[in-house]
Amino acid sequence: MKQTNLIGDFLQSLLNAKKMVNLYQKNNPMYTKAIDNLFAKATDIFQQTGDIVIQIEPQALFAGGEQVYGSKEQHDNFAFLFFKEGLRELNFKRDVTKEELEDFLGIISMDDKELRDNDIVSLLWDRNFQSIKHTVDDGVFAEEDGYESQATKQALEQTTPQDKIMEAYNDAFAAEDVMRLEIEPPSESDFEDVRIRLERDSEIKLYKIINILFELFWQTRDKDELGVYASIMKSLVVFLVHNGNMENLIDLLKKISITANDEETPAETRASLKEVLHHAGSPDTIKAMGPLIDNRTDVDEEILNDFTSYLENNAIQSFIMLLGELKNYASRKILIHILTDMGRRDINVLLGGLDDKRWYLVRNIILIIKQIGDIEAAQKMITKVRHTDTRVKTEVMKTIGDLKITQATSFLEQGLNADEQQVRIAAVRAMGHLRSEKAKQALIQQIKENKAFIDKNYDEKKCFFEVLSLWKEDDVAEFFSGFLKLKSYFSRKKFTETMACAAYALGRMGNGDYLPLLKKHERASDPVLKENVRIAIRSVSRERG
Amino acid sequence: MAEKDNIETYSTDIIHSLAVILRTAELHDSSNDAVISQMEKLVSLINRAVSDAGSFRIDLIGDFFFENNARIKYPLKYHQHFESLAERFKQRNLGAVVFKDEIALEDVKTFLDAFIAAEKSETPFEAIQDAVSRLAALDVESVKSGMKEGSGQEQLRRVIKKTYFNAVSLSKGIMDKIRAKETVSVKKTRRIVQSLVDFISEEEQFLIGMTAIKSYDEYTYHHSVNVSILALALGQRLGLSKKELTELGIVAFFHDSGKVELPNELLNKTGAFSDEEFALVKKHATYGVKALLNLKEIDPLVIRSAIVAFEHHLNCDCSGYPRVKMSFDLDIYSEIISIADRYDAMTSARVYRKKGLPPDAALGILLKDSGSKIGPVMLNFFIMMVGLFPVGTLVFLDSKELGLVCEGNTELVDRPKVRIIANGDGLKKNYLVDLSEKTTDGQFKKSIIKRLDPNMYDINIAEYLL
Repeated sequence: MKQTNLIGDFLQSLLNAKKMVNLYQKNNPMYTKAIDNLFAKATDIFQQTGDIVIQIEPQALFAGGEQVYGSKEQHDNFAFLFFKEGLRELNFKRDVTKEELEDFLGIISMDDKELRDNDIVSLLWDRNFQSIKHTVDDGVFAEEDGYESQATKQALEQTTPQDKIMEAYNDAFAAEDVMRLEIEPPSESDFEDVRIRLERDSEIKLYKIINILFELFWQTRDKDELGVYASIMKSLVVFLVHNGNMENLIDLLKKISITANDEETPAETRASLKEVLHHAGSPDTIKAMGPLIDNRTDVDEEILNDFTSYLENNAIQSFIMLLGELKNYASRKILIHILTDMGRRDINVLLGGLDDKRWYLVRNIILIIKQIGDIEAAQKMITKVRHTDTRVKTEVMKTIGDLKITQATSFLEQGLNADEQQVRIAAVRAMGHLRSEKAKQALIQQIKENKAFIDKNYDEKKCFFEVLSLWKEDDVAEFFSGFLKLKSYFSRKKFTETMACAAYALGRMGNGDYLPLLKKHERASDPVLKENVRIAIRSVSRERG
Repeated sequence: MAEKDNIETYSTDIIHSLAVILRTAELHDSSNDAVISQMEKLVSLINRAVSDAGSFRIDLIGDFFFENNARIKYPLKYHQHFESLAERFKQRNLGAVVFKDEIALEDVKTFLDAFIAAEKSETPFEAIQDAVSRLAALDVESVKSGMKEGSGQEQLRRVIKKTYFNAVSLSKGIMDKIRAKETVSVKKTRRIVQSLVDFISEEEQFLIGMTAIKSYDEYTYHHSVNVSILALALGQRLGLSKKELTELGIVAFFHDSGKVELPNELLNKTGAFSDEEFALVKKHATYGVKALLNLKEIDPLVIRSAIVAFEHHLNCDCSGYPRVKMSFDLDIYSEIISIADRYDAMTSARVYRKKGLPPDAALGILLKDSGSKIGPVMLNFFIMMVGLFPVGTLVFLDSKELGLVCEGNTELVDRPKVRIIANGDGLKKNYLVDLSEKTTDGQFKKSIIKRLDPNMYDINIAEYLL
């Protein structure tokens, strides 16, 4: 095969490999295959002919004077991609390694977003390939055509006249002798000193730029200028958040917070600084923290708490929004802690989040309100929640119980008749937490008067009796014993289940007076009843010592 | 990869070892025990490199050594050894040493004897080549014609000149954009600076020479480029990596960005500034922070540029401006750029001062501030870079010739290359003399005895340097 055909073939493989690099991850077989194929093509050429030297023109690539690639397209045009960056020649030397080809592909496959402030030529320069050389025409970056020749012409316009030279020459004889200065070459310790400083300064000195910005804030009273500095600080906050640099971010916010709350700070400066704090808690800024919290396993909650302590109340809404977007349970848990802390500052913002359509977010907000423990807020929450999801409703019931909101008993009563068993059970348990007379009566009434009660499933029924047993009052014990004294000829299985529940509850109350009654059923034929009676007798006996 | 790393380590050690042996052998003799012991170490290093890579070669390109086209790292602790060895190679016109196979102690001994003896030869490279021609494993090559005087070097210098003026043009464009509050792309600056970094390693002195050609009309734009070049040259001597040099060069390029905020009538004022005006001029440091941090999205480069813009008029003792509430530990880039900035500003003609100071006088002022306003270590490096008679200095030689310093000497700071502008009769001429040249009895052929201010005689430096 002719060398130009081989190079054309190689370029086709390069183009193909570029597509694969864009499409697949490094560990994908398609990716690996494309690189292997490219390397094989290159090796083939090196063995048969020699280095691959490609000249670049806007719409074509040439090797040995012959065109080996051509395209008039604006996009996906290899020649134009290189040409527009000033590349004029590429030389793949015979020692090129597979790694170098892969890195080269990585560079030429980058899109504008990945390139940011770089370009292909800059990256080739940075990478400093041993066996892929490139030639560039930096003239493409000249701002003005012909500037160099014009500047050179201007610089050479005036020639030094002979008389001036002669004047200098004559003056030279009378001029002072030069002083002999002894300059010691830098010593080993000088180099060491420089090395230490280079190392020290190799990291971005964020603390310094923060200090500088404060110096600037102090130096001006001009409102426009303060606005500019505030805007810079906002950008800096975003930069720090994007880079996960919490230490410097906290340092910055702390400084702003202290200065903004210092009465000696001029009012206009304080206002500008407050703007920055507000921006730090804005939805965009807080949203940018999402990936940092979500993708890391080593999130330091203490640092996050420190961070939020400097934020203004607008951050509560932003964190609620972020809470709805986080993917991991662990990160949501962290945010719930944060919002529990921040939410106290403005509970109404939290309550606003209850209107969200996402059940999990609403449930988490209820959880946060519960953790805050503000009864008044929780009562508002009860009336505000409209979400129909079972999990939300269940959480509301739990909250009423956990916070012992006795004023919400009637709400729980409604819950006892909810369509979903999960909600009903949560309502029963919440009643148990309230332990009020009203709650007790509501439960007794449900068991006694709700005709459908007997048909509820065994676990739910047992829950009613178990919760009711918490009262440990005589009327409750008497109520339970009534079930063990009754005989029924209908729905025998369901009735025996209810008896079993009553026996179990009686046992939990530990009242010895009912031991004989329980023993009557000790040898019941129904295994469920028999088992519950046995447990109850054991409990009562244990209670009696 | 591991093999490559090994070879890189060998290269550094081999250069270092070679330099040490040569110094010792020049003082003693190649059969001295200490020399033999060092030679044995060298043989072992070379043979390990040959064994890893099949063969091994060291090239001298410009002022630096390369191993298989890769520049050999410039560790700080070996700095002086590297420089002195490069100088010795250059004196002998020796461009490369090639180890084709594993070598024996005798091979190294033959090479060293030939190398030392060649100092006194009229044709030093040929003398070495002749001596090693009978060795099977070792070969030498002369300095590549492209990198020595001649067409290759001239071509490179043309490219450097073009890049310099492209950079000035770019500086102008950037300042206009900042002034118009347009977005500035750092891409172009990065590309230009990367080219300058390449040139600084190959033609440091020529590039420094370009900074001596001052433009009265376009001072601001030339100044950005000059400061960038001087900072790169200083940074290279301090041992900064290519990546760090690129960052330093870009930061230097933008150090005076705040000046775009100053009114033109102030910048172009020919008389002395009033107190209010000077206070405003001083504000360019803080304006720079504002301009740079508003230029584009904040990133580490922008942050460092803003820090340097703020600090470049602050002294080591925290005097200078802007006045700061808290004490500042200057960034090393700020210190580098500050010296480059002062030097270039002092040696340039300005609207309020028709003539710049002679380069050596500017150096004298910097020396006065050494230890108080300027860090003495940094200044020492700077002087070693520009020499005691920096490019553009008008000097009178003991040969009664008048000339302009056109290229510093990296080793002998008071022995630069001088472009003679008037011969012993005071007649206008244009030829080059190298003050490091010696007569056969080891005496320097010519020396500087007096210096003058070229600005007093309207001498157009560009006429001799471009």
